[in-house]
Amino acid sequence: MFSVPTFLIGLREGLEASLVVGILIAYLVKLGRRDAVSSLWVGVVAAVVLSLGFGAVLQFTSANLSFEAQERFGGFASLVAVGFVTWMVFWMRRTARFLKTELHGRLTTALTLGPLALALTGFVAVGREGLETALFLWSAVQSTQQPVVSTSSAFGGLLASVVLGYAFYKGALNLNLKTFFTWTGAALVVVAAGVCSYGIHDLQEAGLLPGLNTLAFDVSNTIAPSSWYGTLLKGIFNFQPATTVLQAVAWVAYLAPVLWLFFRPSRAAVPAPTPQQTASV
Amino acid sequence: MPARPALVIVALGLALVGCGTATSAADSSATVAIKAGDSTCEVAKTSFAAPGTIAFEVQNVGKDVTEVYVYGKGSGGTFNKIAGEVENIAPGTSRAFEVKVSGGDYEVACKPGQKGSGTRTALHVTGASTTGTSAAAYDREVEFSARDDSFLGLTGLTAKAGERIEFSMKNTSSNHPHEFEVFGPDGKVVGEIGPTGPGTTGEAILELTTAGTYTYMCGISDHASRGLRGSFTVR
Repeated sequence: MFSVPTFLIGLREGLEASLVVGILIAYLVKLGRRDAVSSLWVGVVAAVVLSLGFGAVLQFTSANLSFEAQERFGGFASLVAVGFVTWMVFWMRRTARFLKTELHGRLTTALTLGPLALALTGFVAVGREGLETALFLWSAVQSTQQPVVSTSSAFGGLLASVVLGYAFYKGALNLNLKTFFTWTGAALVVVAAGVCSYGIHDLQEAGLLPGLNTLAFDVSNTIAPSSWYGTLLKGIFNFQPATTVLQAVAWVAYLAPVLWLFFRPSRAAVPAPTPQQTASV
Repeated sequence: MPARPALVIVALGLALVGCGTATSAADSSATVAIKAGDSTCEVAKTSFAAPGTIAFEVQNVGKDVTEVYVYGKGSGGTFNKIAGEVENIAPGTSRAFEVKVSGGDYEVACKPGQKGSGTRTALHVTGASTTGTSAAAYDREVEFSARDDSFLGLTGLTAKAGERIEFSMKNTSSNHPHEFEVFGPDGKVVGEIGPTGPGTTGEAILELTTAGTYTYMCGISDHASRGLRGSFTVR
């Protein structure tokens, strides 16, 4: 026996983090910096361990986290994750240009932002939804009705998300360098826009931001959140069938300028903005 | 090399987690069971004698994933202000959550499929009602205790007009229940902490709308004449 709804929650909760981590690892491998991958993993593992540990305390003891506290955590952690991922994308965009022009040895200096930054990025990418996911997993383990079905379905969903992240990573590696850096970077920006919108919604639920009941649209009857396609849309783009106006505004306000900056012709490392001159470096 | 990032990360994680207030489960009231099905939503207890914290335990007895919200009245008088929630309850599993309530009406909503407005059940909490948009919010907390001959910890209390204060009274008496009734400058009741048994704590959120002298007393038996009374000023 297998519970599809439980599987889908696991998939949804894990998918976005898997994609982000998969893309980041692919980036590092493409740059020839396999050695830096371990720093990223430190952050990922730390986030998983902390989430599972803290989740276990909440689930198995009488300790409780108020819903506001949990939403505030989810909200702020999401915005922090957006910050890190955005910064990573632009750092990589800059680094990628070295690939074409510089000797490989110079890359080492370009990567001096180093292990801590990578670890923190891995940490926030996984940790922002880690606590909620851990609570979901532990409640499946603790299920009195059907512990085996719940547990295997929940872990199965998470595992599937990891497999998809890995598949994305493998597929991305086969792209040629230019295509790879352009499209994986753009993909990260789109994912980050979703995380940003999600964070806003958490803060609205916590009552820190207004407008929770002012919806931009509600298509939850067409795209059911618990359907497989609703799961994928939510897992990859953080698309919420019932989206508030503020969320929609935040999504556009993040995505439009960041994508523009990302796709803008790269210019030489001269601070003065002289776009005509250096349009095709 | 990875040792240092790991340390920083753990510290950061703890700092983030530290934002939350971990409170122990409600000691006085028992857990309220909610059985959430695909079209049903059975709440074991819908009437509560006093404001405070209600601990819910949601069991998903349906086939679909569900989530449960407790709503207070938001602006416009509809039940759309979240007082507490728990999401991602897989079929056959249980999740617990706590909701802090003041006096008034609430609605529990079970949302199978995690969408829509859900199957609603009305809740009522007896006690001081907080009108306005935020059901459970207050500006500050005032803690005091009640002995058989006096309230301790209220001397010198002042407040600003419009302030919303959560009064928390610990009854340190060994055998008498006490309550805490507050009257405004016009002599009308502002609100009260209902009868609170020996050794237990009662809470109420009172909004002190107008300036003036407020009086308080214990309305049980002859307790007021034994010294359980006093006044404070709102400016």
